Amino acid sequence: MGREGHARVGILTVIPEEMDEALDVLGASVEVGMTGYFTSPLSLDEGLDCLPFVVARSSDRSNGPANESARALLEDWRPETLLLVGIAGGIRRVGNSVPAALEPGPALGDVVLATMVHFGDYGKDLPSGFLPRWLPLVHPPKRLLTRHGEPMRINTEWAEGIRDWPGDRPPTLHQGEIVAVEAVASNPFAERQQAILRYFDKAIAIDMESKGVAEALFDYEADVGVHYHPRWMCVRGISDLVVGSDAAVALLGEDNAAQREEWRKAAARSAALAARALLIRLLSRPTSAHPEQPPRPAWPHASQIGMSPAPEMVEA
Amino acid sequence: MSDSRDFDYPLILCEDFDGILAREGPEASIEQFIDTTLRRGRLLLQAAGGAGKTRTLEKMAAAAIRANHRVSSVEVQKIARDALEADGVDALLRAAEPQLTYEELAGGDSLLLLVDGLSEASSDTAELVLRAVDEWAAMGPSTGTVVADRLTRRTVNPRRWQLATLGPVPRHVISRIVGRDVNDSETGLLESPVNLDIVANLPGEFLSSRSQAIERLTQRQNLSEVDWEGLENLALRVYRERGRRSIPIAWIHAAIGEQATATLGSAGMMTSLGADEITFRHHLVHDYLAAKAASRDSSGWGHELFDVLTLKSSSYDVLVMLLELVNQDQRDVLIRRVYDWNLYAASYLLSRDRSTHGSTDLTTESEILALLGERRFDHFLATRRQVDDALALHGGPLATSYQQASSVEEVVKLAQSTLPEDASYRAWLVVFACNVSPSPSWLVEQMQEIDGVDGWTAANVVRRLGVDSQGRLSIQALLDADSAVVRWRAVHALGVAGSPVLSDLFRALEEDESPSVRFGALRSLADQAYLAESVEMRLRIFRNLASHTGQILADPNLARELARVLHVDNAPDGWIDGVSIAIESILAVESDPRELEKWRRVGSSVRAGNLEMV
Repeated sequence: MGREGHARVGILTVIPEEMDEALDVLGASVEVGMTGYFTSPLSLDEGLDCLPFVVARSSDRSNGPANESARALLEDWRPETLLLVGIAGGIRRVGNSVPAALEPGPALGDVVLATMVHFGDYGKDLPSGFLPRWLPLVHPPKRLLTRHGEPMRINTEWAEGIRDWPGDRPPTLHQGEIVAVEAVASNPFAERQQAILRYFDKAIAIDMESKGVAEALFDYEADVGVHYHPRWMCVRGISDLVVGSDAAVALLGEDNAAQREEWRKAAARSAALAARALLIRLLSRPTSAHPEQPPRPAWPHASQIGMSPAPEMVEA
Repeated sequence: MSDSRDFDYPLILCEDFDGILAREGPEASIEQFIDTTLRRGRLLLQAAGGAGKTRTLEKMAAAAIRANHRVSSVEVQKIARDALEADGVDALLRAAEPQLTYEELAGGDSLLLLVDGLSEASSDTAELVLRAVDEWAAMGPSTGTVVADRLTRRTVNPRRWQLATLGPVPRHVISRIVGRDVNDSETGLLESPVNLDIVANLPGEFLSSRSQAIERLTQRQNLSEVDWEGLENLALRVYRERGRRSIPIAWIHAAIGEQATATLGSAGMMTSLGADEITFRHHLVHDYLAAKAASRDSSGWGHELFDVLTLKSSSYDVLVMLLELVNQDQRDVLIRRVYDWNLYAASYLLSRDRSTHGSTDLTTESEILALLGERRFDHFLATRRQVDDALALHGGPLATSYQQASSVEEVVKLAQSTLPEDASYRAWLVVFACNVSPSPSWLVEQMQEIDGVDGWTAANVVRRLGVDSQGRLSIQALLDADSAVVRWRAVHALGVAGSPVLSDLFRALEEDESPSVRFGALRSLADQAYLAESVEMRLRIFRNLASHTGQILADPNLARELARVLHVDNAPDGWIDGVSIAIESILAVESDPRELEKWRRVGSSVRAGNLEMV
């Protein structure tokens, strides 16, 4: 048990739009006591000593507050799985074709599930360029990505709750590397940011919090994890596009600050919808007994926790 | 010295350190303290020496056992710093009585861990203890840890830690216990449970100070005068040679013999720390004995002795007792010498003195408060906060006025309106209120004054007014002075002397034999970077500082100060870039993951303008 109780899944959001969309999509309309954590009223009515999920908001933006908030969530609820749910920048690159064109990548409103997290702001500025260094981080487990992420990539019905959608096609789901930084530059010509994106050439999204959460998981693994080994996933809706070169800026031809303004809410919703589908899948099976806690129940039907089921999870 | 007597002093839950200083917050019962600790996982109980922290821990232990919680306790002084550094939580758990293991967490039973003695730990040891407690709380959500600590601002996360303090014993309780009405001065002394406990056992006596109370207590033991003097000298020797409060049994046997040692043990004045070491049951007794030894020779009052007595500024309570033990005509001398060593220690002495008998010379008090008032406008934010804390702790009307002043000019005006008839103060004011810029030569000369308050006043005013080339040369010459404190004042003033003195400051940082001068040089280099005429010069200074990273990290005081001076008011252009250079150079050489994380957080907090992590 955590300090406040036990929840099988903890969901961490950062900005108000992310929190609002997560609460709405997940039906998490009640606060648990006066803890600042929210869950569905049906979950509380069950009177179990275990909640299916809780939703929280980070104390602030950026990696430091996200680290603190993730640690607090882990300590307060001891969830099996932590989901970081919110928005990020999608990375677009110039391919080798002639004439030059942008390579395929996540579009505005799409969702990225992180397979690996890099921290781009830890390194050394040398005359020859930026030399990254490495931090111990815990990456999302491959098994969860394969078991839950891959079906969602193939079957996009999870996204059917989108609304006020600025785009002309529904969102799709991508899996790929994420690079975390301390501040995302509004200026697409920012040299440092371009250097980071060039170095992490497989990254498909950039955010400001995933490193903080990945580090909190490492701290738990290294310092706390005698009987408790939480895992995590990073769910990012793309609210704007960033590029790794001046050439790509020219090809993109759009202002990412304006994009972010237009897409912030929509991208937060698509991330929340993906999180809902993941949540339903994660809760569909019980948890077996554990040295520190008794077995935990499953909630195989979304309606049990007050959510309408995602289409691909239609109840039998 | 503790018994079951309940002194009814309030237990106060505070939102932040300012609340602790002001003793502001909701009062709680001992049961609510326990519940809060178990709910939050970590409670930092901060109060002045003798305020009843150990007694409160004992009361919490008893109440927790009654409520069927498991209880374990830790004495910080039993944990070696190296063990804490290497093993973290493991070292904490090994020192717990009864010992704790990780496996016990699996049971999920509520467990209260009580950590006492942080007051006496050095700053870096205290940081390691708090970090270990933080991790322990994360490991065991069914555990709660209370850490008793002195009044000092710690870098704990207020979202995870509950802060708390203790209020004074109410006057009616004091009257009830001593069996008579008490006046204001006695209330100031007896609102401390430790003092009241002693007085309660000495019916009919009127005491004027804590040291007098402890003296009465020790006099009740059947030791000869020679034994007492031997014990006093031993207490000072232990501080000087061991830097801690544990005493090798062989040393105390050599000083006063086995019989007298046994007498103290059976009187409950000493506690065993294992087979080879013992300690005084309350650290204030050790402080009293060491202060008594130090009080005999005023010629020794200086930086070295103050470092020894306070365990390198870990606790100033021993200086309060030294102040109480010396004659009235020597008190002013002592405070001014303490000021020469540590501004904040001097203000602590003033605050404690004010809360009891108020014997300090008004001239000195007014001068020191004015000097504190000016430092509220320092461009280093950590200095401002420290000064605000010192003025809040003092709490007198003049201190409050300085806290409310909105500019240096207002501080000077306030100083000018104070003590209009005091000739000594008016003479000091000529220096403090000097407004001739650049600094006149007589002011620079004054920096060599033997008196700490006068000398530092001149150095501060020179820093305020700036210097011309002649003044600069005069101050540069002081860098070769025999007196370390004069060299310290010189590097302090050179912070505003521009690029021609940069090489002098770097040389002082590298080569001066005095830690205080090296410390002052680092601060002044940060001054120079802040005041640099161009971004290029600013970055050049930071790059040069970065080339000294190894030296700075090797000295905990310098490393701590570097983290503090990076946070400035109204950061000039290029400051953040300069900070990045300094931090990156540290990240490149530091290998401890926790230190790496700490410095990354310093960098983030500078960028965010958040002083919380320093």
